[in-house]
Amino acid sequence: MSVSVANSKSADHLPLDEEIKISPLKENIKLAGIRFALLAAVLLVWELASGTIIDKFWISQPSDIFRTLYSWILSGELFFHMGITAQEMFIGFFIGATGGAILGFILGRLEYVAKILDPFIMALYSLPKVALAPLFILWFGIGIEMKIVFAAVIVFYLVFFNTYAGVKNVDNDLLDSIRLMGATERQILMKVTIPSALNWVFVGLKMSVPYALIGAVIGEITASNRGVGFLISFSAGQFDTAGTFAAILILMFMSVLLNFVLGIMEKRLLRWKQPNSN
Amino acid sequence: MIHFNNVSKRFDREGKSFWAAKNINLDIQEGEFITVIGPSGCGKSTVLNMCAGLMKPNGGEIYYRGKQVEKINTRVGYMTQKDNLLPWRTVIGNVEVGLEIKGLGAKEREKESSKFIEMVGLKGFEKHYPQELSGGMRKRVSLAKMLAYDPETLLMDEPFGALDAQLRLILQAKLMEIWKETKKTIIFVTHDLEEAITLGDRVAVFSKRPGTIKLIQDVNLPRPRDTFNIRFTDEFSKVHTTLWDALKEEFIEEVIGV
Repeated sequence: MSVSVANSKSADHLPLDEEIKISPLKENIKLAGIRFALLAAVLLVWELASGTIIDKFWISQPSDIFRTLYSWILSGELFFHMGITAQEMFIGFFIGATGGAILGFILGRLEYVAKILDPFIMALYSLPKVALAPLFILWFGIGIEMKIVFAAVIVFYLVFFNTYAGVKNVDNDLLDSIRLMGATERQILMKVTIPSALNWVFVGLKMSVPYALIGAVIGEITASNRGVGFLISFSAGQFDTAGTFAAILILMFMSVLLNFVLGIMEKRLLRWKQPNSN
Repeated sequence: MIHFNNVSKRFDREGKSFWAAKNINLDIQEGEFITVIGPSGCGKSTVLNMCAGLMKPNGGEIYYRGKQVEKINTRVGYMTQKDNLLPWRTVIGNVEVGLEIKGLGAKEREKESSKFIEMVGLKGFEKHYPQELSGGMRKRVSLAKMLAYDPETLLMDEPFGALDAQLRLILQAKLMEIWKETKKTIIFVTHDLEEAITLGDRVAVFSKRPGTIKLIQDVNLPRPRDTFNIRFTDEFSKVHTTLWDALKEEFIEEVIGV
């Protein structure tokens, strides 16, 4: 009894640190404020330096860029080109991802066939895909199809490799433990192999979404008459620096948005991977 | 019921080969609780792996209910040192795996799994993922998972090694209770001599590598046994002395050898 009294007494007199309370909302607002100020400063320096220190022809001017953007929004051009690029990207991604996941899964299960094909797959994988663009123009023309195929090929390889690795790297101990429980081959596939590989597939999918955008844009820059990539190359071709910057800004916006959505999806789908998420 | 006949197992690593276990002869009766003890790396786990059909012996045979074990032995439940939980499944999802394979309905699965989750003291953690649990908690999930699908024989490889002493005593008592109710056969590997004596009908002592069975000692302590107090009885210390004498040499040689 006396011990506990002594304890509580001494606890009262112990010099404790003041509890520091950081409200997460406040912290976030502060962070956003600093970022905004930084951005404003850069834009301001850019605006002032343009035409005074550096020729406007090379770096344009933020006000010009936003004026161009605004005019594109009014004319409807902005959403037209964004829509085209997004369409190419999503269709290409879908085809490439589906193909890559299915083929990767099959090859992951057929060990011997995979062994035979290994050097060929590696050779194709190491080829810079950009080099294929002229060939695809030859085959599919300069329309939207060529960009879809181009994006699909890039996505295909990433998803294919990850799925293949995922199926091959299923933990043998997990397989053994479920076999001991008397699981049939089908049950093993459904309960261990596929869920385990899915984790890798997600990594491949996540990696390849930005690449789908890259594929679509490279295709457009190479040869096209619409899409954000076309806007970039067309503006640059006209020596319209403001237009080029404006188009690049659109592209940046699209990829930031994409990564944001992907981040949310990953958090939801792979909750089990985050330790102590509670 | 389980019969090891001159069983030997060799491993080849980097061109060298060594015997992990040599000439193991052991007869295990149906419903028996046998504990296995020995220095680390003496082939205890290897013996369990062979019994489960995960490894093939390089010499001798293992018979399970008169049939030679040649492929995976689905009549045994095996709790390995690794917890082998499916990381994408929650605690309850992991415990239910064996019941799904058996083809039980959702309601029945939940009833069974909740029972065992409560038994291992993880009530309230059903919806957690293995990643979110401590090592000891994962071990307990793995125990619940094995008990839930109710295999005929249990192979347990240091199942309580990662737990604190109090919890270990509680789970030892629970295991003995289950064993008494279900009349399962249990082979229990441990590195804790007191645990081996507390639980076992017999204790098998392994020598260091190549592992052979050095001594099999009957433990004639009355059941039910009190996991905490039994260590203070005379019979316990008598058995303890005999086993320690046998075991000591293996450890001494090992230490001097290093």
